[in-house]
Amino acid sequence: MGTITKSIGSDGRDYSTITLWDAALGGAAGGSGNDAIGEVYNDSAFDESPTVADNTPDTITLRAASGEEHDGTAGTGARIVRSTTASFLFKFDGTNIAAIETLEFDANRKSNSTAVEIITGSGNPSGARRLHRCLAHGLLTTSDTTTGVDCDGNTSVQNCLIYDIDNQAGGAAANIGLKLPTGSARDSQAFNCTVHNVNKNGTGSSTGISVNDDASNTCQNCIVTDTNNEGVGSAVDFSPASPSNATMDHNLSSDNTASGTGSLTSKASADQYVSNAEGSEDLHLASGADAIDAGSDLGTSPASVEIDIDGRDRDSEGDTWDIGADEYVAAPPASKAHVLGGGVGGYIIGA
Amino acid sequence: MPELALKIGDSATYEDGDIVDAFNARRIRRVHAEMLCHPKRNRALAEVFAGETREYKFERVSNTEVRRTNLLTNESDVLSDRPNSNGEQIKVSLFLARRKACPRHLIFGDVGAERWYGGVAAYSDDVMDRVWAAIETQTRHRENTFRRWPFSEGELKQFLVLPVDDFTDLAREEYKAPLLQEQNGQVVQVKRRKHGVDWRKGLGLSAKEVADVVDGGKPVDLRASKQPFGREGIVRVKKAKLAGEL
Repeated sequence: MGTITKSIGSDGRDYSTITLWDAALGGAAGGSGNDAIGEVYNDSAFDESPTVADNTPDTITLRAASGEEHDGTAGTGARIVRSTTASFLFKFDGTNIAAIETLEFDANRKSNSTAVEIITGSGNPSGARRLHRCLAHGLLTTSDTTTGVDCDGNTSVQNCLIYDIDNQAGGAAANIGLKLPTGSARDSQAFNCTVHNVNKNGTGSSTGISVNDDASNTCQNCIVTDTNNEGVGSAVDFSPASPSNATMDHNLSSDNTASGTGSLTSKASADQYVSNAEGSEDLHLASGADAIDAGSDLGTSPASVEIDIDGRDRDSEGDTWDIGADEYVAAPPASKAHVLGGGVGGYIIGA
Repeated sequence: MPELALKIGDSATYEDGDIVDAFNARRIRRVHAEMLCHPKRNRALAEVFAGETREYKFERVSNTEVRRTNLLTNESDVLSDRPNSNGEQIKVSLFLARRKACPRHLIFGDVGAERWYGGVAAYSDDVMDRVWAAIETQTRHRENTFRRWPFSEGELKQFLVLPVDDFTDLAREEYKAPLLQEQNGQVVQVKRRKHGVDWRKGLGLSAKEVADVVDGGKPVDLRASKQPFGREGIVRVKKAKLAGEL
């Protein structure tokens, strides 16, 4: 019948937490027959683990308000940052998800086992669902499986950055950066995502992007780098490395598991990103990155796939598509310092 | 003042009296501190907040180099565009140009000597004590005027907010936990919340107060009129039904 848009933030918005907004979706924040939109503000970090699960509205969208989006790095926009342990950071459990967009999910190494979990219920409900332009990072668990983004059902994960997914549980507990659903005919997709530093310590597997080898699943234009296992278990950037049914092409890996037409293997993460330094990660592509202009042109379907992590429209700009969440463009003029003596201890005169 | 936000009336997902959200003292003092230290309000305090809460401080030391200091151990190393032994690198000019393109960026210091903060964030009471000390030193704000969660007027119409005695982070998570039950060998969620409050009868509210809450036409804020409730006396734990009762 209509669209109900509510603001969410701690500084004079309609709702002060995502949890309270969700609890109002059956009424003032949504209601039957409506499309509910929650617009999240960067007034302060949300210290909560919300579950959004109310099938009363026709559709639910949760996104950063205009001007409140992250800039592709942590701590710069509307975000959830956990201060205490919880089993998950954000969960959508329902059949009416439309989109989760432009938000940051920072588990802050507080023993969460999942950063973003999207459950679309039993079966495979129709309609477009997407996780789009989000950051998910900082997972650490010592007692369970770990998954950065865990999808169940027909979901399209697009232009997301997923990094620092760390499983120190030992044993066989699996560790996955981005997991598309198991089962047949789930119709799930990973398009233009960047996954970095998925680390495991144990006998279990560590996997950057895990795709069920079913004809309904697709993984294209994704970067996975530095998937690691400190223990004796396996570590692969992409699984499967040789799909029989799933569509996997134009991907880039730092190991040899990116397969299919146009894929690139054995590429060092240091050559791809602006920064992979712990605590100051910036996974935008750097000049000269192998991923630049190496992607497949996906056009405009599914919806929004052409919009990169920064909001750049690859299609309308006529870009040659890159691999990964970022479409490389020359950065604004750098603030170059004049250094006398150079290096650590040199004298710097601000230019 | 620690607070619980209760559901008023049943909905498709919640029951009347469910504890929808829970705010202990630490969460309340954090949210106000973070807003007062937001870069759009006070950049000096924004740096204090970042420096007190974050794991690492980064300082540009040349065109291509950055010193990274662990603020807990004071250990430092230097990063550059050449990968270190861990494969870490940063192209600092490009990194800073991108950050500074955002009007509310968190890059501090003069050009050529920029500094910023990152890594894991800590919000312990000690950390918040230091942040609030800085706020009170540098502004006229006082923490004792920021003791309540910043609910909107609409929220105070839709939810019943109770002042309560303080509780731990663990209790906070427990209050928001669903009621689970084993069915056919699988643990399933049977109710959205395990904990609730019989607010209509269990708080000693007058008939008018109850009517005002149910009416929802105007905000009801018991924080202004009630002393904190003792949680042990009011919070009820729902019981999962036996399989035959489902």
